[in-house]
Amino acid sequence: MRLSIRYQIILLVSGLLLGAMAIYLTLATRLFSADTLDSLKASNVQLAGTLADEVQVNIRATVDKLLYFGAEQSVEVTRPAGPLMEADPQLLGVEIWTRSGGAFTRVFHDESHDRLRTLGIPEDALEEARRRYPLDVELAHQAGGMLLQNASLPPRLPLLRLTALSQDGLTAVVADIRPARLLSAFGHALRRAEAYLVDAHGIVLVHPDEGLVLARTDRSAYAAVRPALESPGSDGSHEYSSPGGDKLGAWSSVRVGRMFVIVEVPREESTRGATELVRRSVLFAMGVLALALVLSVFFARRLAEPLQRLQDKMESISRGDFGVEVEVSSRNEIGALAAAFNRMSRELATRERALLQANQQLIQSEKLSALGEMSAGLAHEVKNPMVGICGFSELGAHVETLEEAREYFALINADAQRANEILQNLLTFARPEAAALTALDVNETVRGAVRLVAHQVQIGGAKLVTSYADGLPQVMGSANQLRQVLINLAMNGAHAMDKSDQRVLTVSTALAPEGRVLIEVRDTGHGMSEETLRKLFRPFFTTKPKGQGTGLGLSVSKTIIQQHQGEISVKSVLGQGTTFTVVLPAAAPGQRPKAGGVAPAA
Amino acid sequence: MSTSSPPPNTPPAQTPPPGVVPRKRILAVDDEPSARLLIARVLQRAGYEVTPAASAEEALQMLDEGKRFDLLITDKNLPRINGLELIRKARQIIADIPVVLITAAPDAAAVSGERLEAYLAKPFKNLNALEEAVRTAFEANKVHLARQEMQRTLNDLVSQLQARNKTS
Repeated sequence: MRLSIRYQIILLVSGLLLGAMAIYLTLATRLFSADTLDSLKASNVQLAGTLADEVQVNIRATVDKLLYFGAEQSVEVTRPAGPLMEADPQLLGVEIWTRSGGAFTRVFHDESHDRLRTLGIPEDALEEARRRYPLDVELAHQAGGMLLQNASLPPRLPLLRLTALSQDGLTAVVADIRPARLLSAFGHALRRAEAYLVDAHGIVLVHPDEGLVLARTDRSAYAAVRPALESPGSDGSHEYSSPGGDKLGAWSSVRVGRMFVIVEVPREESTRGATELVRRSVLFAMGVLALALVLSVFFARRLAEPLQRLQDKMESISRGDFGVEVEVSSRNEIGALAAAFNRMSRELATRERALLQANQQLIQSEKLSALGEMSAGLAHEVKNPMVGICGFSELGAHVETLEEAREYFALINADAQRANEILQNLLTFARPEAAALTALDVNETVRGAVRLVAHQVQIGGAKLVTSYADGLPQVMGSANQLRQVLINLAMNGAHAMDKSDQRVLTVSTALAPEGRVLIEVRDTGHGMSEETLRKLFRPFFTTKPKGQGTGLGLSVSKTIIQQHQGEISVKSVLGQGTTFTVVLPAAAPGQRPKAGGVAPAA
Repeated sequence: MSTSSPPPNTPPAQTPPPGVVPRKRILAVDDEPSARLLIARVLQRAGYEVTPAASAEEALQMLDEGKRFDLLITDKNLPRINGLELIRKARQIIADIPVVLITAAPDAAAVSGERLEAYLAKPFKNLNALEEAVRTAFEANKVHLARQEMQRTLNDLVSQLQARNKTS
């Protein structure tokens, strides 16, 4: 496929632009993501630490309230838990256990029946959870006097139990808390970060997905959780692979209750900014490129349109239609090109006219030269009827009868007509003609030429043999110019036989292949050498002595035949003779003569 | 056309009156119809018996058929067989027939080597010129024949003399 220049340029520029952008984006992304990975790790650790602090503060506050309530109850046991409940909307129930002897016994418990009802939790379900996760003083003691446990009862009850031990270790207050309260802190997790709270066994205590809390999900096996469980009390961050892809993790230990805040972020989050940058840059570049394409196509069209017009005009010049001009509207290089083109076109037209004129003059002068050579033969031709005219007119002076006189007058008239015809024929041939191409009968044209040269040929003592084929198509041409060619060939033939024993000049017409018409002039003269044959059609080439012949006869003949879209060729055998062959294309039916092909002489 | 009595002012009136001597027979060859007709008319008026022929072939056919002619008048430019060729061929049949050649260039014709009794250019200066040429040809022929006769007599004498010299 051939692309026009404008599209080649557009494609090249687009390619370069895309390539440059790809390199730039690759570099930018690499720099950007290295930077963001570090800052993401740092912010993970920070987030985990902040969350751990928040959890600690929150729980500490609740524990203080619970212990205060517990202390009050030991003084006045009958006091209900109402105010405590009201202060904390997430609280569902509270128990107070005291040590008597070796074991702790529950001395008080209260539930918010309204809240349980609102949540659709039966009271025995809460009791069931309390039974399943009873007070574990030992564990609470190890955890620093307070313990947060996941006491959820799937499928309905997500529940945390917070155990607070008094300073003297004689009282334990246990609160049943809905996780929602602590949850709020984790709900604000950063973007795609997953932050949650696990206990010392890796059981999820708080998670934005309440379902995980309800199911008491064990995350101890998680790559994100394991390092936290293995080194309690520490903070840290790490990278790891998980089924969900590469991740960045951070953990932070809550200072009370043996709990850990875990933060997980997909590693790709670190390249997210870069990816976004690339995405937007690519979109922007595409936009710019599309706009550039549209604009360049538009401008290229504006640029190419005058060029296209110029090309059309050039093609019409190459077809021989000289003198066409293209409109000059733009004042840029294309305008200058068009102006130069117009100058060239005008110049070509002028030269073409001059050339045609010169050519025409050459043909005419060559014709007159041929006429000069033919003069002897022509004089003879005119003399023939003169014999009758002179003779019968003299004889007529002595007639005895009117019939005899009438007979002589008729004979004189016939001969005078004949003489006139010959002179008319000669004049027609000699006149510089407006050589418009017309449809011609080839045989008729050849006959006219033969009539003019017949005597010249016979004066030289040669026999003239003619043969005309029937049913030839007409040809487009100038009768006079074709006659000129034939006269030229016949005279050459006659000259060539000057010194031959046998002198026969044969002029014949025939049908050539492809419906063309062939005219042949054959002599039995001395023939021509290869050398002569090579130079034969060159201007000013002649084998005649100086002063005889212009050397232009065959050159002009060739020009004429070419102007008729025909061909002229020659075959010769030394000592045996020469044959010239002219082949002319048949006139297409209804063919219009092409103006300018053979222009009239000025 | 009747040639019994030429009008008194006819130019070729000096011819011997017909009937006394058998009329001379002339073979006139010209491919131009009007020239052929003119030659025939003029010479008939002058008292000759004229047989026209349009081509060398036609003339030769008549000669081959054995027709006798006393003079051949022919144009030099004839199609196919030209005038000079015709003269050569005619003389193979009638050896001493006198000839009038119609040509514009007598010198060129003389080169052929053929004996030509008279020339005539076209168009004829006047009709007398035509008759004049024919008469000249007859006279020249007479001279030619007489010279031949004398040559023969001379040759005979020479050979007799030679024979006598040998025998003596």
